[in-house]
Amino acid sequence: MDENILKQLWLNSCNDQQVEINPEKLILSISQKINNIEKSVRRRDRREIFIAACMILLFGWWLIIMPHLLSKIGAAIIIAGCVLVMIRLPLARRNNIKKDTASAINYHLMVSLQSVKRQIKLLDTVAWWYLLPFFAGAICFYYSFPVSFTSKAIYTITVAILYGYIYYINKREITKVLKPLEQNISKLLHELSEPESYN
Amino acid sequence: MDEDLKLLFLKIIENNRQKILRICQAYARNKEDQKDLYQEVVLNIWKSLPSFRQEAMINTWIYRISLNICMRFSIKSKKENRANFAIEGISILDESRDLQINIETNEKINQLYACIAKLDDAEKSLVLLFLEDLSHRAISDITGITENHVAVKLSRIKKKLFNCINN
Repeated sequence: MDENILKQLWLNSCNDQQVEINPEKLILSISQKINNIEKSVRRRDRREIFIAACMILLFGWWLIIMPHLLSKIGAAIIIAGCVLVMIRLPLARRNNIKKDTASAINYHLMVSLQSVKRQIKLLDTVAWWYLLPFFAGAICFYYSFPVSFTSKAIYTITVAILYGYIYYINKREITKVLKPLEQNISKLLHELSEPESYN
Repeated sequence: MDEDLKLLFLKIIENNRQKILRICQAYARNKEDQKDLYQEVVLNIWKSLPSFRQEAMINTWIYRISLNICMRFSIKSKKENRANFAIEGISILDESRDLQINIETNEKINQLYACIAKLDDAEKSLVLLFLEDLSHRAISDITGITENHVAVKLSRIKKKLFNCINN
Protein backbone atom coordinates (compact mmCIF):
# COMPACT_ATOMS: atom_id res chain seq x y z
CA MET A 1 0.00 0.00 0.00
CA ASP A 2 1.52 3.36 -0.93
CA GLU A 3 1.16 6.72 0.78
CA ASN A 4 -1.49 8.05 -1.59
CA ILE A 5 -3.75 5.04 -1.17
CA LEU A 6 -3.35 5.34 2.58
CA LYS A 7 -4.28 9.03 2.46
CA GLN A 8 -7.33 8.30 0.32
CA LEU A 9 -8.37 5.58 2.71
CA TRP A 10 -8.02 8.00 5.61
CA LEU A 11 -9.82 10.87 3.90
CA ASN A 12 -12.78 8.60 3.15
CA SER A 13 -12.71 6.90 6.52
CA CYS A 14 -15.64 8.73 8.08
CA ASN A 15 -17.87 8.78 5.03
CA ASP A 16 -20.22 6.32 6.70
CA GLN A 17 -20.94 8.96 9.32
CA GLN A 18 -22.85 12.13 8.71
CA VAL A 19 -22.79 15.20 10.91
CA GLU A 20 -26.19 16.83 10.99
CA ILE A 21 -26.27 20.45 12.00
CA ASN A 22 -29.26 22.47 13.04
CA PRO A 23 -27.80 26.02 12.89
CA GLU A 24 -30.34 27.82 15.10
CA LYS A 25 -30.34 25.10 17.73
CA LEU A 26 -26.55 24.86 17.69
CA ILE A 27 -25.99 28.59 18.15
CA LEU A 28 -28.58 28.73 20.93
CA SER A 29 -27.20 25.68 22.69
CA ILE A 30 -23.59 26.91 22.54
CA SER A 31 -24.55 30.40 23.75
CA GLN A 32 -26.42 28.86 26.68
CA LYS A 33 -23.52 26.55 27.44
CA ILE A 34 -21.00 29.42 27.49
CA ASN A 35 -23.37 31.54 29.61
CA ASN A 36 -23.82 28.70 32.09
CA ILE A 37 -20.07 28.20 32.40
CA GLU A 38 -19.50 31.94 32.97
CA LYS A 39 -22.38 32.09 35.44
CA SER A 40 -21.08 29.14 37.45
CA VAL A 41 -17.59 30.70 37.60
CA ARG A 42 -19.07 34.00 38.78
CA ARG A 43 -21.25 32.17 41.33
CA ARG A 44 -18.23 30.27 42.68
CA ASP A 45 -16.19 33.49 43.03
CA ARG A 46 -19.08 35.30 44.72
CA ARG A 47 -19.70 32.37 47.07
CA GLU A 48 -16.05 32.28 48.17
CA ILE A 49 -15.98 36.03 48.78
CA PHE A 50 -19.31 35.91 50.60
CA ILE A 51 -18.21 33.13 52.98
CA ALA A 52 -14.87 34.83 53.67
CA ALA A 53 -16.62 38.19 54.22
CA CYS A 54 -19.13 36.62 56.63
CA MET A 55 -16.30 35.01 58.60
CA ILE A 56 -14.39 38.29 58.70
CA LEU A 57 -17.50 40.10 60.00
CA LEU A 58 -18.28 37.41 62.57
CA PHE A 59 -14.74 37.07 63.91
CA GLY A 60 -14.23 40.85 63.61
CA TRP A 61 -17.21 41.30 65.92
CA TRP A 62 -15.83 38.71 68.34
CA LEU A 63 -12.42 40.34 68.14
CA ILE A 64 -14.02 43.49 69.50
CA ILE A 65 -16.38 42.06 72.10
CA MET A 66 -14.44 39.06 73.46
CA PRO A 67 -12.64 40.02 76.66
CA HIS A 68 -10.03 37.23 76.64
CA LEU A 69 -6.70 37.90 74.90
CA LEU A 70 -6.46 34.34 73.53
CA SER A 71 -9.88 34.64 71.83
CA LYS A 72 -8.82 37.98 70.33
CA ILE A 73 -5.65 36.36 68.98
CA GLY A 74 -7.70 33.43 67.60
CA ALA A 75 -10.20 35.76 65.90
CA ALA A 76 -7.38 37.87 64.47
CA ILE A 77 -5.62 34.79 63.04
CA ILE A 78 -8.86 33.55 61.43
CA ILE A 79 -9.50 37.00 59.91
CA ALA A 80 -5.95 37.04 58.55
CA GLY A 81 -6.54 33.53 57.12
CA CYS A 82 -9.75 34.69 55.39
CA VAL A 83 -7.95 37.69 53.89
CA LEU A 84 -5.15 35.40 52.70
CA VAL A 85 -7.64 33.03 51.03
CA MET A 86 -9.51 35.97 49.45
CA ILE A 87 -6.24 37.19 47.94
CA ARG A 88 -4.59 33.86 47.15
CA LEU A 89 -7.35 32.07 45.22
CA PRO A 90 -8.33 34.84 42.73
CA LEU A 91 -4.63 35.65 42.28
CA ALA A 92 -3.85 32.02 41.45
CA ARG A 93 -6.69 32.00 38.90
CA ARG A 94 -5.63 35.31 37.37
CA ASN A 95 -2.00 34.22 37.07
CA ASN A 96 -3.05 31.12 35.21
CA ILE A 97 -2.22 31.88 31.55
CA LYS A 98 -5.26 31.39 29.36
CA LYS A 99 -5.02 28.11 27.48
CA ASP A 100 -5.83 29.08 23.92
CA THR A 101 -6.82 25.92 22.07
CA ALA A 102 -6.08 27.64 18.75
CA SER A 103 -2.38 27.94 19.57
CA ALA A 104 0.29 25.62 18.18
CA ILE A 105 0.22 22.21 19.82
CA ASN A 106 3.60 22.40 21.57
CA TYR A 107 2.86 25.91 22.86
CA HIS A 108 -0.54 24.74 24.14
CA LEU A 109 1.18 21.85 25.90
CA MET A 110 3.76 24.15 27.47
CA VAL A 111 1.02 26.45 28.80
CA SER A 112 -0.91 23.44 30.10
CA LEU A 113 2.22 22.16 31.82
CA GLN A 114 2.81 25.52 33.52
CA SER A 115 -0.81 25.59 34.64
CA VAL A 116 -0.60 22.09 36.15
CA LYS A 117 2.66 22.98 37.89
CA ARG A 118 1.00 26.04 39.44
CA GLN A 119 -1.94 23.95 40.64
CA ILE A 120 0.48 21.45 42.20
CA LYS A 121 2.32 24.28 43.96
CA LEU A 122 -0.93 25.79 45.21
CA LEU A 123 -2.21 22.51 46.64
CA ASP A 124 1.20 21.50 47.93
CA THR A 125 1.40 24.63 50.09
CA VAL A 126 -2.22 24.45 51.26
CA ALA A 127 -1.06 23.66 54.82
CA TRP A 128 0.67 27.05 55.13
CA TRP A 129 -1.76 29.44 53.52
CA TYR A 130 -5.07 27.71 54.30
CA LEU A 131 -4.97 25.04 56.99
CA LEU A 132 -2.49 26.36 59.52
CA PRO A 133 -4.04 29.85 60.04
CA PHE A 134 -7.55 28.42 60.47
CA PHE A 135 -6.35 25.58 62.68
CA ALA A 136 -4.32 27.88 64.94
CA GLY A 137 -7.12 30.48 65.02
CA ALA A 138 -9.80 27.90 65.86
CA ILE A 139 -7.69 26.37 68.64
CA CYS A 140 -6.80 29.73 70.22
CA PHE A 141 -10.40 30.87 70.01
CA TYR A 142 -11.80 27.74 71.65
CA TYR A 143 -9.11 27.57 74.32
CA SER A 144 -10.14 31.00 75.57
CA PHE A 145 -13.48 29.60 76.71
CA PRO A 146 -13.74 28.26 80.27
CA VAL A 147 -14.22 24.60 79.29
CA SER A 148 -12.75 21.40 80.69
CA PHE A 149 -9.45 19.91 79.57
CA THR A 150 -11.32 16.91 78.11
CA SER A 151 -13.52 19.05 75.92
CA LYS A 152 -10.45 21.02 74.75
CA ALA A 153 -8.71 17.74 73.94
CA ILE A 154 -11.74 16.40 72.04
CA TYR A 155 -12.07 19.69 70.16
CA THR A 156 -8.36 19.72 69.27
CA ILE A 157 -8.46 16.13 68.02
CA THR A 158 -11.65 16.73 66.00
CA VAL A 159 -10.27 19.87 64.36
CA ALA A 160 -6.92 18.17 63.73
CA ILE A 161 -8.67 15.22 62.07
CA LEU A 162 -10.79 17.56 59.92
CA TYR A 163 -7.80 19.62 58.78
CA GLY A 164 -5.71 16.48 58.40
CA TYR A 165 -8.36 15.12 56.08
CA ILE A 166 -8.43 18.32 54.02
CA TYR A 167 -4.63 18.12 53.80
CA TYR A 168 -4.85 14.47 52.75
CA ILE A 169 -7.38 15.09 49.96
CA ASN A 170 -5.24 17.90 48.60
CA LYS A 171 -2.16 15.67 48.63
CA ARG A 172 -4.18 12.89 47.07
CA GLU A 173 -5.31 15.20 44.26
CA ILE A 174 -1.65 15.96 43.60
CA THR A 175 -0.46 12.36 43.53
CA LYS A 176 -3.47 10.79 41.83
CA VAL A 177 -4.42 13.47 39.30
CA LEU A 178 -1.99 16.34 38.91
CA LYS A 179 1.37 14.54 39.00
CA PRO A 180 0.31 11.92 36.40
CA LEU A 181 -1.10 14.75 34.29
CA GLU A 182 2.16 16.66 34.59
CA GLN A 183 4.10 13.55 33.59
CA ASN A 184 1.83 12.90 30.61
CA ILE A 185 2.13 16.45 29.33
CA SER A 186 5.91 16.48 29.86
CA LYS A 187 6.23 13.17 28.03
CA LEU A 188 4.14 14.41 25.13
CA LEU A 189 6.05 17.67 24.98
CA HIS A 190 9.30 15.74 25.01
CA GLU A 191 8.12 13.47 22.19
CA LEU A 192 7.06 16.42 20.07
CA SER A 193 10.04 18.64 20.73
CA GLU A 194 13.35 18.59 19.02
CA PRO A 195 16.05 16.83 21.06
CA GLU A 196 18.13 19.96 21.68
CA SER A 197 15.22 22.28 22.47
CA TYR A 198 13.61 20.54 25.41
CA ASN A 199 15.14 19.83 28.79
CA MET B 1 -21.22 37.39 19.31
CA ASP B 2 -22.29 39.39 16.24
CA GLU B 3 -24.20 38.00 13.26
CA ASP B 4 -21.17 37.93 10.93
CA LEU B 5 -19.21 35.83 13.38
CA LYS B 6 -22.17 33.49 13.85
CA LEU B 7 -22.37 33.00 10.08
CA LEU B 8 -18.62 32.45 9.87
CA PHE B 9 -18.86 29.92 12.70
CA LEU B 10 -21.61 27.97 10.94
CA LYS B 11 -19.67 28.07 7.67
CA ILE B 12 -16.54 26.74 9.37
CA ILE B 13 -18.45 23.94 11.09
CA GLU B 14 -20.29 23.09 7.86
CA ASN B 15 -17.13 23.01 5.71
CA ASN B 16 -14.98 21.10 8.15
CA ARG B 17 -17.37 18.58 9.64
CA GLN B 18 -15.74 15.46 8.18
CA LYS B 19 -12.24 16.71 8.93
CA ILE B 20 -13.06 17.22 12.61
CA LEU B 21 -14.88 13.91 12.69
CA ARG B 22 -11.82 12.01 11.43
CA ILE B 23 -9.50 13.58 14.01
CA CYS B 24 -11.96 12.90 16.83
CA GLN B 25 -12.45 9.33 15.63
CA ALA B 26 -8.69 8.69 15.82
CA TYR B 27 -8.55 9.73 19.49
CA ALA B 28 -11.89 8.33 20.62
CA ARG B 29 -12.24 4.94 22.26
CA ASN B 30 -15.88 4.64 21.25
CA LYS B 31 -18.74 6.49 19.55
CA GLU B 32 -19.64 8.33 22.75
CA ASP B 33 -16.10 9.72 23.05
CA GLN B 34 -16.18 10.73 19.41
CA LYS B 35 -19.41 12.65 19.93
CA ASP B 36 -18.11 14.33 23.10
CA LEU B 37 -14.84 15.30 21.45
CA TYR B 38 -16.67 16.63 18.41
CA GLN B 39 -18.87 18.81 20.59
CA GLU B 40 -15.91 20.06 22.58
CA VAL B 41 -14.07 20.98 19.38
CA VAL B 42 -17.15 22.85 18.13
CA LEU B 43 -17.45 24.70 21.46
CA ASN B 44 -13.79 25.69 21.32
CA ILE B 45 -14.10 26.88 17.73
CA TRP B 46 -16.88 29.16 18.94
CA LYS B 47 -14.79 30.39 21.88
CA SER B 48 -11.71 31.06 19.73
CA LEU B 49 -13.61 32.67 16.86
CA PRO B 50 -13.49 36.29 18.11
CA SER B 51 -9.67 36.14 18.05
CA PHE B 52 -9.55 34.49 14.62
CA ARG B 53 -8.88 36.92 11.79
CA GLN B 54 -6.98 35.21 8.99
CA GLU B 55 -9.30 33.36 6.61
CA ALA B 56 -6.32 31.91 4.75
CA MET B 57 -5.14 30.10 7.87
CA ILE B 58 -8.44 28.44 8.59
CA ASN B 59 -7.12 24.91 8.08
CA THR B 60 -4.25 25.42 10.49
CA TRP B 61 -6.64 26.92 12.99
CA ILE B 62 -9.14 24.05 12.78
CA TYR B 63 -6.45 21.39 13.06
CA ARG B 64 -4.86 23.13 16.04
CA ILE B 65 -8.13 23.30 17.94
CA SER B 66 -9.13 19.74 17.06
CA LEU B 67 -5.77 18.25 17.99
CA ASN B 68 -5.35 20.29 21.17
CA ILE B 69 -8.77 19.16 22.37
CA CYS B 70 -8.23 15.53 21.39
CA MET B 71 -4.76 15.41 22.95
CA ARG B 72 -6.08 17.00 26.12
CA PHE B 73 -8.71 14.28 26.26
CA SER B 74 -6.06 11.64 25.76
CA ILE B 75 -3.67 13.09 28.38
CA LYS B 76 -6.29 13.55 31.08
CA SER B 77 -7.62 10.82 33.27
CA LYS B 78 -9.79 8.44 31.30
CA LYS B 79 -12.21 8.52 34.19
CA GLU B 80 -12.94 12.19 33.63
CA ASN B 81 -16.62 12.96 33.87
CA ARG B 82 -17.82 14.30 30.56
CA ALA B 83 -21.53 13.91 31.19
CA ASN B 84 -22.24 17.64 31.37
CA PHE B 85 -21.06 18.25 27.90
CA ALA B 86 -24.21 18.05 25.77
CA ILE B 87 -24.61 20.59 22.99
CA GLU B 88 -27.80 20.43 21.02
CA GLY B 89 -28.14 21.05 17.30
CA ILE B 90 -25.35 18.76 16.24
CA SER B 91 -25.58 15.01 15.81
CA ILE B 92 -23.41 12.30 14.31
CA LEU B 93 -25.35 9.70 12.40
CA ASP B 94 -24.13 6.34 11.15
CA GLU B 95 -25.10 5.55 7.59
CA SER B 96 -25.05 1.96 6.45
CA ARG B 97 -22.70 1.39 3.54
CA ASP B 98 -23.21 -1.02 0.71
CA LEU B 99 -21.56 -3.96 2.47
CA GLN B 100 -20.81 -5.94 -0.69
CA ILE B 101 -18.79 -3.13 -2.22
CA ASN B 102 -17.17 -1.77 0.87
CA ILE B 103 -16.33 -4.76 2.99
CA GLU B 104 -12.69 -4.79 1.90
CA THR B 105 -12.35 -1.02 2.25
CA ASN B 106 -13.94 -1.18 5.68
CA GLU B 107 -11.41 -3.74 6.79
CA LYS B 108 -8.56 -1.59 5.54
CA ILE B 109 -9.96 1.46 7.31
CA ASN B 110 -10.35 -0.49 10.54
CA GLN B 111 -6.80 -1.74 10.19
CA LEU B 112 -5.55 1.81 9.58
CA TYR B 113 -7.32 3.07 12.70
CA ALA B 114 -6.01 0.12 14.74
CA CYS B 115 -2.45 0.93 13.64
CA ILE B 116 -2.91 4.63 14.37
CA ALA B 117 -4.20 3.71 17.84
CA LYS B 118 -0.92 1.92 18.55
CA LEU B 119 1.07 5.13 18.08
CA ASP B 120 1.73 7.43 20.99
CA ASP B 121 -0.08 10.77 21.14
CA ALA B 122 2.69 12.85 19.59
CA GLU B 123 3.17 10.39 16.73
CA LYS B 124 -0.56 10.18 16.25
CA SER B 125 -0.94 13.94 15.88
CA LEU B 126 1.80 14.07 13.23
CA VAL B 127 0.57 11.09 11.27
CA LEU B 128 -3.00 12.39 11.21
CA LEU B 129 -1.80 15.65 9.71
CA PHE B 130 0.24 13.71 7.17
CA LEU B 131 -2.81 11.60 6.27
CA GLU B 132 -4.83 14.79 5.91
CA ASP B 133 -2.40 15.49 3.04
CA LEU B 134 -0.81 18.56 4.62
CA SER B 135 2.65 19.79 3.69
CA HIS B 136 5.52 19.69 6.18
CA ARG B 137 5.24 23.47 6.37
CA ALA B 138 1.57 23.28 7.38
CA ILE B 139 2.29 20.51 9.90
CA SER B 140 5.06 22.65 11.33
CA ASP B 141 2.64 25.59 11.72
CA ILE B 142 0.10 23.43 13.51
CA THR B 143 2.46 21.62 15.84
CA GLY B 144 4.96 24.42 16.45
CA ILE B 145 7.97 22.25 15.60
CA THR B 146 10.35 22.92 12.72
CA GLU B 147 9.81 21.54 9.22
CA ASN B 148 13.04 19.55 9.42
CA HIS B 149 11.96 17.93 12.62
CA VAL B 150 8.53 17.19 11.13
CA ALA B 151 10.25 15.45 8.20
CA VAL B 152 12.52 13.38 10.45
CA LYS B 153 9.70 12.41 12.78
CA LEU B 154 7.29 11.59 9.96
CA SER B 155 9.69 9.33 8.15
CA ARG B 156 10.05 7.24 11.33
CA ILE B 157 6.34 7.23 12.07
CA LYS B 158 5.39 6.30 8.51
CA LYS B 159 7.77 3.35 8.66
CA LYS B 160 6.11 2.25 11.88
CA LEU B 161 2.63 2.69 10.40
CA PHE B 162 3.40 0.81 7.19
CA ASN B 163 5.04 -2.01 9.16
CA CYS B 164 1.89 -2.33 11.24
CA ILE B 165 -0.42 -2.23 8.21
CA ASN B 166 1.58 -4.74 6.20
CA ASN B 167 1.89 -7.24 9.03
